[in-house]
Amino acid sequence: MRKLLNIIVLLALVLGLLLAVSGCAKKEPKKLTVWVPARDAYIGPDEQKKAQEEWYISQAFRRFEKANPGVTVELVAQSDAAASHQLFKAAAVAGNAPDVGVLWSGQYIFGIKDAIRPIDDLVPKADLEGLVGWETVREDFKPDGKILGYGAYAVTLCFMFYNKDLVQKAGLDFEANPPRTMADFDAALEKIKKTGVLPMVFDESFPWFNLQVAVYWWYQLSGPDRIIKDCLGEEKFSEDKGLLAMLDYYHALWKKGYVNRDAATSTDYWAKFLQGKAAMTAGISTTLTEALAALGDENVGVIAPPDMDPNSPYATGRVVGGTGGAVVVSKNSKNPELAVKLISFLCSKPESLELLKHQTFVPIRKDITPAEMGYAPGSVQEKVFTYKDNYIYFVDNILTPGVVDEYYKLVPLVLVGKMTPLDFAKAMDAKAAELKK
Amino acid sequence: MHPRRGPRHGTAPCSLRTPLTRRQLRQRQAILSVLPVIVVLLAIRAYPIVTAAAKSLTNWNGLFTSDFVGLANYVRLLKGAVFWKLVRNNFVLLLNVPIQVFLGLVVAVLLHERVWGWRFFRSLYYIPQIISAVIIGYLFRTLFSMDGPVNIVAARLGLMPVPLEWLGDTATALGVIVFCLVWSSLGWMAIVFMGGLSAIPDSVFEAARIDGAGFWRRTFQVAVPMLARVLEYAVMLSIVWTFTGLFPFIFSLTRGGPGYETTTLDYMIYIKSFVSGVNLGEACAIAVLLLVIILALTVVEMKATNAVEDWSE
Repeated sequence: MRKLLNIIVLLALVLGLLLAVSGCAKKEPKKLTVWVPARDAYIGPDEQKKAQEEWYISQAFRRFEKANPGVTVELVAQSDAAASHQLFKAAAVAGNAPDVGVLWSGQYIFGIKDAIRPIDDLVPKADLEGLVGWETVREDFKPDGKILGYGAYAVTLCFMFYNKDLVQKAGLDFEANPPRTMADFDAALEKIKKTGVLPMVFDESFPWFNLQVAVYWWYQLSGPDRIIKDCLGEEKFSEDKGLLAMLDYYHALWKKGYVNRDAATSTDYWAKFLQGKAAMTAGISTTLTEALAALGDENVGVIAPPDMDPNSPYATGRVVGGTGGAVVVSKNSKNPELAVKLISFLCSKPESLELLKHQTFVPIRKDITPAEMGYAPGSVQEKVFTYKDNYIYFVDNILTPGVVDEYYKLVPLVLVGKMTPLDFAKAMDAKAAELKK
Repeated sequence: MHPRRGPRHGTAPCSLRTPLTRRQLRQRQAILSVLPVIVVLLAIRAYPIVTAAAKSLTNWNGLFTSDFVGLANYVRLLKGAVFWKLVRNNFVLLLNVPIQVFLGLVVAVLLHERVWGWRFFRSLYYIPQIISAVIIGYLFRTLFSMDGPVNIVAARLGLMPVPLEWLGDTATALGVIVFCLVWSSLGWMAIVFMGGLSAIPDSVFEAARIDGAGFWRRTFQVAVPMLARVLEYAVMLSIVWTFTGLFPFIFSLTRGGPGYETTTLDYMIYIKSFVSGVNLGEACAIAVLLLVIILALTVVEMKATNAVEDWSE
């Protein structure tokens, strides 16, 4: 009897222990680590001046944690967005890449696809239908390519800002008659120059104008397939007439004195534009608020670049842009389902609208209207919003890694005439051939 | 026989019990003292160097591709024009070393001789050394921009009717970088020389002065020969620094541009590793070549110093 009692007590103890262990296992918190660039993504320029808890993304993570008890999300702000791709790679090799990384879309993630978990099986159908930008995260831009992430956090659009006062002083009205042909554009720049005002200002030490505006002409003349073939060494940059024509015009802008002489080395173009020292510049949608605040709502206008080939399928009022960012799940993640759930949460309509309170973004959701964003009919913001339906994807995200770096480095030399367009194209061919090996 | 009183010859256990001489003991102590440092150095210096050398023979993409390609990375680099431009840039930037040495020596002798206000100037010269290199880079970028103070002052003085784009031309951009390096390191160089000068008795300088030696003779015919080893140390460190430590200056001042005109070898390693990241094997090959260049220059410099010391003896 006593023996039986001992056995029962022992069994009860073992059972209790097992229950306790299983209880602990159930309550074990799940943790997601997320890398976010410290600028130009979920963390806006104004937010950087605030405490981290006040950032939109920190608050969004807290809301996600509240909606998913037992889950914690750790934010790691990456200071250098470009370098974060390599750091992501290095972390993946070491086996400790974050669960989620906010990187750049297109070739930037294709180049590190070995470190990324495809999420075709995890993305909700509603997201596939309700969000834009999936083409930028499908492997090698193929319609049936594996989905390497969400094309998030926003649609970034590039266009030309102009100072209405300075343009009107030259007798021009870009609202009623925006320059749509290159001849019109040249004539407008010449008129502005004659008033003693610098027609355009930009910094090409990193070739922003080239990447935000000039590549539009290349895309228009050559098309994306040709550009990709050039990069892969299947065709030659030096035989790409579209590229050469774009570069000729790019240099001509500088040669004719339509842009600041120190464009290849300067770093203060934006300040100069905001100070009213130049009539036009290239810019992106996220900087619109700053321009409106500095120059006044009535004094800021935006136009799409003129067309180099009006008959091109990529012509008529398009702008360079797209979902330049990509939110990916690493292969090291132990909770890929939860990681996708977090990304989907960030892309939800309430979160998108909340994000838009912190930064001037064009949303990636198809169901958000300009009115919901508080844009008045006919406003500059509404005009920018309309570009969303008519953009060509960032060309520098199409150029392959290695080739794009050579492009960044050498194209400023073409602007200031230290390299001919043909020599530039040959250098690009050499790089493409080197990478092909 | 008690085992502990066994024969003292012929067996290994007995030789272990042989008492160590004082010299052997000191040697062991010395080895044991430096062993932790050697182990740490092997772990944090030798291991990465060996790994980089091994990876330089592969097509490592930073991820899981790392196939052996032999010397292909080296051949491609040495055949390409860009690599030689980087080497040229590094050698041009070496100009900062003799300028630094000359000015550092002059400043050090002046401070050593306690000219009027020497305490103030000693602190003043050292200030750039405690400012972040990135801030110094941005400072010089602003100073030498088209609308910057240098062009404004030059225009007001009538020296340059048309503003010069200092950072847009290879020669002037490299010149600005050399100036920046000299400005930021002059204080360090002066302090190093002052340390060397403090070991020279004041009577030596006093005697030279009594013999009628002026400032320049005291500096170059008295101080320099007695500072041979300090000079060697300072020059060697400056050369190594010029090849490996300019990244923050280049990054903030020119970003290596225009084109590759001011890109240095260490900056290229950054570009290949963290910007492009396509072929980290090639980045490793540049690192290995950089190491070889530095070692060669160090050997040359050490031999030159030995020769100078022989002459002075």
